[in-house]
Amino acid sequence: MSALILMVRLAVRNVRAHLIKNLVIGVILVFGTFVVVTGAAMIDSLDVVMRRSITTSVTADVQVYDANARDPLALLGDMNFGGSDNGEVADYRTVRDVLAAVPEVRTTLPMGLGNATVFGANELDRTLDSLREAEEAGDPAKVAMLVDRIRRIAGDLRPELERVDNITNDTERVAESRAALDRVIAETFPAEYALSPVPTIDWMDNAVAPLATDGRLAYFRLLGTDLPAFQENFPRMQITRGTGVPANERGIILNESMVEQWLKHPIAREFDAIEKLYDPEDDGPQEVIGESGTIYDRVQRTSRQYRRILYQLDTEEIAVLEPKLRALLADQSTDMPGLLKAYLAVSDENFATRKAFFYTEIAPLVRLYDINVGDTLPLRAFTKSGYLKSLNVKVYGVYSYTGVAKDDSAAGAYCLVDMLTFRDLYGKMTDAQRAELHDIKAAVGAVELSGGTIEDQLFGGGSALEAEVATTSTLAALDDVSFGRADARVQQTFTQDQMESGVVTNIAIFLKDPDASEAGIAAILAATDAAGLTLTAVGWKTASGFIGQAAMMIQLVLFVAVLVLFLVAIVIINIALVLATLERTAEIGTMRALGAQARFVTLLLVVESQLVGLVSAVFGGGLAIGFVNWLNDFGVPADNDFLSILFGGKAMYPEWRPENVALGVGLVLAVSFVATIYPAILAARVPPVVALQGKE
Amino acid sequence: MSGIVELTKVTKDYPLGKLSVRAIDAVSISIGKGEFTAIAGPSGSGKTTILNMIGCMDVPTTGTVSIDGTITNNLYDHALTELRLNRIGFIFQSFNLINVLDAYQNIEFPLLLQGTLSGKARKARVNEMLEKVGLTKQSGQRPNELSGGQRQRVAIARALVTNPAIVLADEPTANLDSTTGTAIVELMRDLNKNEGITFIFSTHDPKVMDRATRLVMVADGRVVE
Ligand SMILES: Nc1ncnc2c1ncn2[C@@H]1O[C@H](COP(=O)(O)OP(=O)(O)OP(=O)(O)O)[C@@H](O)[C@H]1O
Ligand SMILES: [Mg+2]
Repeated sequence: MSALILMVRLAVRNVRAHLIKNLVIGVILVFGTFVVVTGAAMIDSLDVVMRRSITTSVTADVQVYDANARDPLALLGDMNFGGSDNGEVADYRTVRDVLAAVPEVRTTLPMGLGNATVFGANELDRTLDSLREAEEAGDPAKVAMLVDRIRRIAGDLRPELERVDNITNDTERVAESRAALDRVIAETFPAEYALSPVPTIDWMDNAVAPLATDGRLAYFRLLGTDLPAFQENFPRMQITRGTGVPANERGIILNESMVEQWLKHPIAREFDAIEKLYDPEDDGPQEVIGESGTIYDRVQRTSRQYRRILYQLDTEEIAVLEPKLRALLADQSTDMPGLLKAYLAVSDENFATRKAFFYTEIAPLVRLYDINVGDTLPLRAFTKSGYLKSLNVKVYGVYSYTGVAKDDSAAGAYCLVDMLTFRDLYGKMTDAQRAELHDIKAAVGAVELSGGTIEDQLFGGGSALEAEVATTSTLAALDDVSFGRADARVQQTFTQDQMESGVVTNIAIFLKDPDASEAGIAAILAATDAAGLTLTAVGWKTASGFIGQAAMMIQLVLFVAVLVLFLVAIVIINIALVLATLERTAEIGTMRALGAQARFVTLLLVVESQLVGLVSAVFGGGLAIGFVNWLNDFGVPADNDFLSILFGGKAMYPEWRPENVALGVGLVLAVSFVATIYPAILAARVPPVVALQGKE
Repeated sequence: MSGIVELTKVTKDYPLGKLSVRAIDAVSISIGKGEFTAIAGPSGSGKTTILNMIGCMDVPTTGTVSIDGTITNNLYDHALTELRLNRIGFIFQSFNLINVLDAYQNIEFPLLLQGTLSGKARKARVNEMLEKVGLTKQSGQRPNELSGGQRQRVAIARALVTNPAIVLADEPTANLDSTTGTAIVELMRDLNKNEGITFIFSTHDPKVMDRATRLVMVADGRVVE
């Protein structure tokens, strides 16, 4: 007991006596504690926010899917860019019933993952549609205006055709196209049109509309599910425009990020994109566009795309816009195309005014979004059996996740559809349907046509479309397999029973205790295995795919960094202590001569280094706590998409936990202990005789 | 064989590369309780080696060393350390005080290691020793605040505080001027006379040898009488 008093007294005084050495060691250990405590707090906080963000947006706590799937489930995206195959679960209801008996499970939700494309109509298509409506409504003023617009578009297409003529050898087709355009451009066309409006519209649909090529292809990631249940169970999902899809009805809810990225007017997107390049904190003049370079070139390209605005304007609208543009540009001479071109050639000086002008003056006159709530979307997808399938789905609303800025991220940007639409596009037929299809094919003598590849769709143009049309006519008798515009016969409502029985790709599971996911997964697997289902179950982090792996990677990197830091610290501290021990041999020898056991000397060194460790840990831990609290006040900004998904918002507000501090302090004490072992052994070996040899 | 210290044909060889150096050769000495013994001889003659053997800091290569009835030859480090702590007091040529402790704490050091006295008794004992060596006023001073003579007094107090059977001193005056050296030897002699403490010390200094009640002369590792 009294020896302990002596030891502590000696340790405290020795630490103070070797101040410089201990300061060096202390700084290393303070840094080590700081890194561990801050790192652990950040990782824990990240885990909490990630869980909050990911489990409440799409993964739920656990995901169950085909154990034989070729690719692991990656709900927030992987490196396969949508090409992954997660297998399938033949019948949702069977699995749901098995899981309902698992006490850990709170709720299950069917999910079907797929991809679809939408060919956005070009301006000519749209104008022709409006013209048809105007005819039906009997609105001659509007008809005249629309015919006028068609003639202007045709006038612009004419020179493009000459360019095509120079690079193609399909002269016959070019000649036909030229004749069609010339007919529309001619002064006599409005009179011709007035004679037989509807046949002329039909003719234009076939002969003129295909010549305009700027229809855009939008790419959708689809998530088929029980829509009302999805909305209820994923509270971070918020309908920002329109409504949800009513229960037991077909429909789609678009994702806001996806809408912003794919369906917004290209000029608007261009303004948005350039806007983002300016630093909002900096009030002074900034150079983003400059006088040359990629951004400058991009602006010039956009300026040449003035037709994207012009074609969407009526004569009346032009009459409103033109004087405003002249005033803005202080230009009295140029025509409207010239004005728009000049207007779009923005520079750093006028960018802000031009952008504001776009949103206040131009946006209300044009279609800001290709697809709006209430529209019917012609979705196309390749079925499992390789057919290209098309289905019209009504857009009920647009949703986003709370906390994520609308144009921030496209990951996890699923468009939500009802389960039946998913299954139609997924193309899995029941055996009965397959037999029926076989019979029909036999009856009409149809040749099985494959839809070809995506490349065919994009670049092969006509042939794939023709194949589809052919298929449509032969198979139109089938209720379930409908194509193109033939889907009017698709049943628009369904029963809960229909929705639940049938194929899904994965099943989302909410646990009663989300913290006990390991136990939950084990219980789920035990139940599905017992039921003879070949399913696998994964936690939310794994199920999220790339994002979850990235988070685990961050953890690993930090772990390795701490490991390296501590190895270096151990080596440095070890060397410092060995040198210090060698300097202290006379003192140690004296203590040994006076009757101190070797053990006493060993322990003294350990106590000394633990003391340094403890003081450093308290300092480092305190600094880390202060730092984390400071971050908590200001937030760690998520300045890219990836981080905003991880954080589930614009910033993370990390919090420290006592465990984090305990870990830091514990590790640092362990490090100083390990670093002391060798010097302490050396010290114990100092023989007492050195006391008699030593000089002071 | 009634002496408190009995060296019988003690030989000590130190390894030196492949060879070995014989530091002392067949030394036999018997020292009785209460003697004030000086071990004298030229440099390298083996004085320190003899004190090492008596002080249980090392064991002989051959021969036997008996301290207060205990034969040290076959003892391990732990038992030798116990012997040093409880039976032997040391005074060193370079004083060897612990720099981070003040005079009082340096004297208290062996008592704390022993752990036998209560706090109160310990305090009384340390103060008694401080008084005996005349350093009551300096009790709170660190070694670097003390003169050489004062330091050696602290060392003497530390050596005596546990009431050891023998006090060993290896050239205790070598680092002191002659007046201070003489004073230190006088102090040791007084403690020897008044309290019957057994002192064994080595020295070069004839004046110091003169104060001894017994003189052991060594040369080339052998005792020459
Ligand atoms: N640890 C050792 N290793 C090797 N040789 C040693 C060792 N200690 C002492 N010796 C040798 O033993 C002999 C006796 O040395 P010792 O120190 O006992 O002499 P000493 O009489 O105390 O001399 P001094 O008056 O210089 O202190 C010397 O030759 C010395 O070189
Ligand atoms: Mg000597």
